[in-house]
Amino acid sequence: MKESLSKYLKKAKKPLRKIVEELSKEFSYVSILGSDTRGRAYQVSKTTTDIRDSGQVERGFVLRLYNGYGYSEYSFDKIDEEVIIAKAKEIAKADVEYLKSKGLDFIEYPLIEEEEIEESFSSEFKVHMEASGPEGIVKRLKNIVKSLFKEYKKLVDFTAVYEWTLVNKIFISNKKDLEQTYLFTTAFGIAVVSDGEKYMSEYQAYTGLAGLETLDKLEKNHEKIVKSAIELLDAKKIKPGVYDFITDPDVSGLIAHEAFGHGVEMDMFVKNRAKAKEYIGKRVASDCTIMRDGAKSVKEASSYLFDDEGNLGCDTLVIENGILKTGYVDQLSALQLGIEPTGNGKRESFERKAYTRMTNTFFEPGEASLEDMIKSIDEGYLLEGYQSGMEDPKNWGIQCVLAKGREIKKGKLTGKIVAPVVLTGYVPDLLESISMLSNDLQMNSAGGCGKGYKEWSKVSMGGPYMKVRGRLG
Amino acid sequence: MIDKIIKELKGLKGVSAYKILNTKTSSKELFLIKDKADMLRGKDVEDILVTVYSDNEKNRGSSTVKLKKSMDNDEIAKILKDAVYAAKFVKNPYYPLAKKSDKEYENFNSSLKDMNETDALLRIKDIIYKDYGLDASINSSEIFINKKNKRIVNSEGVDVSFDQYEGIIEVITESDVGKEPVEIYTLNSFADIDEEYLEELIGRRLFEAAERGKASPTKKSDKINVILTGEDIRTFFTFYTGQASARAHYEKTALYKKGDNLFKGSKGDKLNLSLKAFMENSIYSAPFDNDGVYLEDVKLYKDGKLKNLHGSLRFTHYLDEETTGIIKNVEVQSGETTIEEMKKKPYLEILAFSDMFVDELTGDFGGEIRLARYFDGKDTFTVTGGSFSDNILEVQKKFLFSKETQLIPSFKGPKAILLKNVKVLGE
Repeated sequence: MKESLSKYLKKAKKPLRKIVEELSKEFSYVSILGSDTRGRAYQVSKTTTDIRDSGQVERGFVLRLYNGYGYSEYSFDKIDEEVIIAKAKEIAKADVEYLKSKGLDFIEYPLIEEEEIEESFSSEFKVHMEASGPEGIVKRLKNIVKSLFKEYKKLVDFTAVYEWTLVNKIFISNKKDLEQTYLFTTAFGIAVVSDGEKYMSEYQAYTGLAGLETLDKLEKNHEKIVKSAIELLDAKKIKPGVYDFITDPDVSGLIAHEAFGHGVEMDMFVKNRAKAKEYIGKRVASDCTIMRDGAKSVKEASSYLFDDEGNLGCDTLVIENGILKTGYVDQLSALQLGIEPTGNGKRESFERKAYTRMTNTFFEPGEASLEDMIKSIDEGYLLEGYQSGMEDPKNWGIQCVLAKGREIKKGKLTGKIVAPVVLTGYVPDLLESISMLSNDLQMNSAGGCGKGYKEWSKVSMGGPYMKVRGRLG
Repeated sequence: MIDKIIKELKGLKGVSAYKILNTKTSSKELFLIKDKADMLRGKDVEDILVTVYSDNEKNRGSSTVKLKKSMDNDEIAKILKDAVYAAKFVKNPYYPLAKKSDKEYENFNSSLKDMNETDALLRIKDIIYKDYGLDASINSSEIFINKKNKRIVNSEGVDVSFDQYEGIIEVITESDVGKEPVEIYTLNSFADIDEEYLEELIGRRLFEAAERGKASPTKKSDKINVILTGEDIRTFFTFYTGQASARAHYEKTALYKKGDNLFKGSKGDKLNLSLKAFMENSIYSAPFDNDGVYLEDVKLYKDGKLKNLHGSLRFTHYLDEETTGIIKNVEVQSGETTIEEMKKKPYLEILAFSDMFVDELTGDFGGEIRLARYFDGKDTFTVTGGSFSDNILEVQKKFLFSKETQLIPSFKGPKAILLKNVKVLGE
């Protein structure tokens, strides 16, 4: 099943082309990205039900112009040719000249060279995102919550959420005419449990470049979320130290994305903010480590035809057998670095600037089985799920707060749980300690990724189970 | 547009009530690498959030949709019709909408009001890039000036509008005085161009970058006094505002009940915390929340006792509590201990976490240490790396608030908090 491009964007193309044509008389590069993203979020908990538009819903445009030195942009949400042209001139001419007159220098950029391209893309999904209508979706979510309260006395609250986002985008310039429509969905559950004294919560999301079928996964797995939360009530504090441990695919993805991935966003190379710049062609991980990022690498929430600057998505081999090959890059950073863009120029919305952002980032699987990996550990942990992670591209410090660790002693899980677990250390030390990878790849696109503390965008990340050594606290 | 929407809503069957939040935003944004402009951006957008309510028996159903000015009548009609249909399947206990307030209000003053956005960008850029005389520099920065107008309309007669001004800066300071180049990240928002505040902030971040370059690794310690400072203190208190949230009490996820003394047996300072509708330089200062509830100050904790809950009209109504609306400015009463007194014994003063976390449900908090000052009883060193985590319910038994206060956007209170005998991980 597929959705077709929004009628609004189809209709908007004609006046937008006219604006591009008109502004091209004065500016040597003009492009417009148009977005008409729809989406709904359904949320049911023990005490409340909510239906609202999802946070990514938007309709608007961003105009990019070459101002003689670099690029200026104007975001707008209503097509009024006269107003837009006047505003474009204000931002790309009058403001630039005014700032120059006040002594502000501008970084000089070459002109974007484009090839003629006309393409469209529409993602496939099995079940329409609203196939059962609001009544059916609310009923299914209510059934999940109801069934859990019948079974689990320690459950204080369970929030079940289903959210769909249908992205519609167009990109128009003098040489490009691109269209895309893709649907991604998320179904997640948050369990809050209590033993009468303390509270614990657990969260698990199921995601995909898919339709309503994602909700099936929550329906199949909702009990696991509650059981996992109940386990946390008996969790002990970990004895801080250096351990051998196994990361589950969510934690592997967090390491790929947060610990290493942000450091190879090449706009950071332009600003000299990334240590990775000095490591291209050098060892950063163990021999068995292969890491990729790309809109074309896998099918997940960030699998698109073109990015928010009109560049086609790629499949970038970042680490090959432990050697850092390259990073990924947006259009303007690519111009500064003299390389080709990789289709990683993404915006939080049409209202925001494009930065180099990750798409689908992951470690490739290996050949081991999880059982063999556990057997190989004398004293350590199986780490599952995460609460947060923070990047440090300049100094490669790691801070990942993980949901829990299952103790392993003499090759066996003991049943003891520790939580929360904070993973800290130095990124290459951690990646060079990767010694085993399981033979399966699992991706997840729950939540959003920030650049620093802002610019939230949808990404997916993942990997196999990985055996690693590092500092846990 | 609003009139068009109201007309459409009035003609729809099944609409019991409605609420419209209309936000117009005009922005200019300047992005710099070193001290050169990398990009200049502008923005003019308008969002219209419509919540339709459909009541059935004792229940209130609702559904919220986002409309744009570019939508034609047919599209608006279809979206609203679908919203009404969806609202029928939401069966929450009834709660009222905000009533028209007869209280007078005015737009808060900001120097951004009459300043051209491009001039405002320049003025802030000049503050960021002035010579602070430190061994550190600005790697890059982003400056955003947002001028907003909010209008809230509902079917109970509320129709209010007010302006908000917002400056946002992201600044990366860096230094290469040490073995390796280092950086410090900061993201701050403010409602006014307060030069003193901005200069103190940038100067502090440059100082921290210079110090981080010279810092040695944090040593592990099983028992040391930790001093929290700056913006991390604002983050620390989110646990207490979270525990006083009407929603958490309604959903039974709060650890305490109203009237409980959270600090029973505590040997440290007792908490006195209020929410302030208006706080100087805060982007959250507003006469009304997004429901149209008129905002007034509210005291949440008095001498450690949870006196009042806070929250939206819906959840305060469910609990039969006085409606406070959503207020995000926090004021905490300072203590009697001076920072000098806090520093008499060995301590670790956290100057910057990489990302401090606070779990509002459990009270767990901590983070990786980007920069700290360590006093071993004799000498003081700057240190980096390592981490600490603890639980607020434990540390509150003995914590002390500084006598010195700070006013940072959306927080007024102690400049430092002393946490006694905390375990720190390090080398």
